[in-house]
Amino acid sequence: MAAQLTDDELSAALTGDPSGFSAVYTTISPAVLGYFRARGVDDAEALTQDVFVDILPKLTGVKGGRTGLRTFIFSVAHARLVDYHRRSARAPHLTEYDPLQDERYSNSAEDDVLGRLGGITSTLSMLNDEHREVLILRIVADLSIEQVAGIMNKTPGAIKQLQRRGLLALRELVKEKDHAPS
Amino acid sequence: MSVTPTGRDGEIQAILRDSGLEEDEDLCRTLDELRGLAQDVAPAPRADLAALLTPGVSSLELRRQGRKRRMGVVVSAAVVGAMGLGAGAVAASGEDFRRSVGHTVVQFLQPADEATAPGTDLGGPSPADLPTPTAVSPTSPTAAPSSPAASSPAVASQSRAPAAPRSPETPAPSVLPGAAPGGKPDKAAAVPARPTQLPVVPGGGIRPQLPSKPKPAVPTLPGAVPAPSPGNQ
Repeated sequence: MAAQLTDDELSAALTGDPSGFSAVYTTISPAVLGYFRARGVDDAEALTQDVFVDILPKLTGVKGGRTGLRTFIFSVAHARLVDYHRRSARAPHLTEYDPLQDERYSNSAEDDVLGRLGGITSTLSMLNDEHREVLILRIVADLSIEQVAGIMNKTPGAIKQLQRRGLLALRELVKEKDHAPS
Repeated sequence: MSVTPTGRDGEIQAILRDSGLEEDEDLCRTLDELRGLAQDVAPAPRADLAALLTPGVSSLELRRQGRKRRMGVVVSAAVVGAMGLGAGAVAASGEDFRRSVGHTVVQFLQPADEATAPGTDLGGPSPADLPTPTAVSPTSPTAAPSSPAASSPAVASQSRAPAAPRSPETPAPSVLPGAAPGGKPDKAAAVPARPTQLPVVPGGGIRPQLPSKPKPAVPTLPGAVPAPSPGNQ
């Protein structure tokens, strides 16, 4: 359940009062954590806390109320995610042993059921990068078209197009997944 | 069916409506599942974030930098003050410190003064080297060392080794005046015997030392030889 910031907490945080920092962290960090998890970050909690260590001392310059605060936090989160992907692209790719990828074993019935139930992250990973980013920012981060356009440095019209194409691609993936033989 | 509030369902419906996909139930359910990623609890803050969330702490780095700067200034001022006080107290405590400092300075400067006056140094060792050539010219006091030199040729060759280079240059004028007044044929015969021993000395391996001493010996020999000669005559 996502709680909302009260006016007092918001004003305290935006004036640099540390008493409002805790409320900001408790309210918005779950969305930031979900944003990083949806983008497949390995250590999403650590990256979330990096974001808040970075933004909390800088809240005095934020304008725009709740909307401006949320846009500011997810702008920093988006920049951190870009840095993470650049860093991970340069670093050697390490994979753990996955028993599901081992063809010497057959899947159990439990694995089949769990695979059909979950896997939204794996479904999202099959989308285009921009489509995935727009859908996650719109739905997980709960941002408007204009806010997403500001974060991704695009026009609102372009974001609308990306959102529509992303939803169409996601629908095709969901249909394929539902009709796939289990 | 959905766990999320109705308002959020309405937002998802609005998103689907914008794209013309509001009647797709599978897509709506997938987006609900996607929204569920943001319904988690806030992660427990780690140490630095917890310190930042405590009331009264607005920034961690600024305090660290301020403390470091202040500590650096205080420590450097204390060190400089202590060094100045210590040096002043020692200098003012007594004259021993000043004397010892002056003595050490003089000790450092003395070898430099000696090195700058080479003429005095070169004159000093030359009289000390002279006894070996004068051992030939005087008759009574230095005749005794000549006889043990004959008994042990190896020692004699070593002792006369430094004088060897002088003999080719100077012995002719120095020995001849001394031998002429004496008029003894034995000493005159001993003079030619020296060149026979001297070539053996350079063969003994002392040749590298020879070029260093002949130069000071050249001016001193004429001064030392005439002194005994008037006494003998």
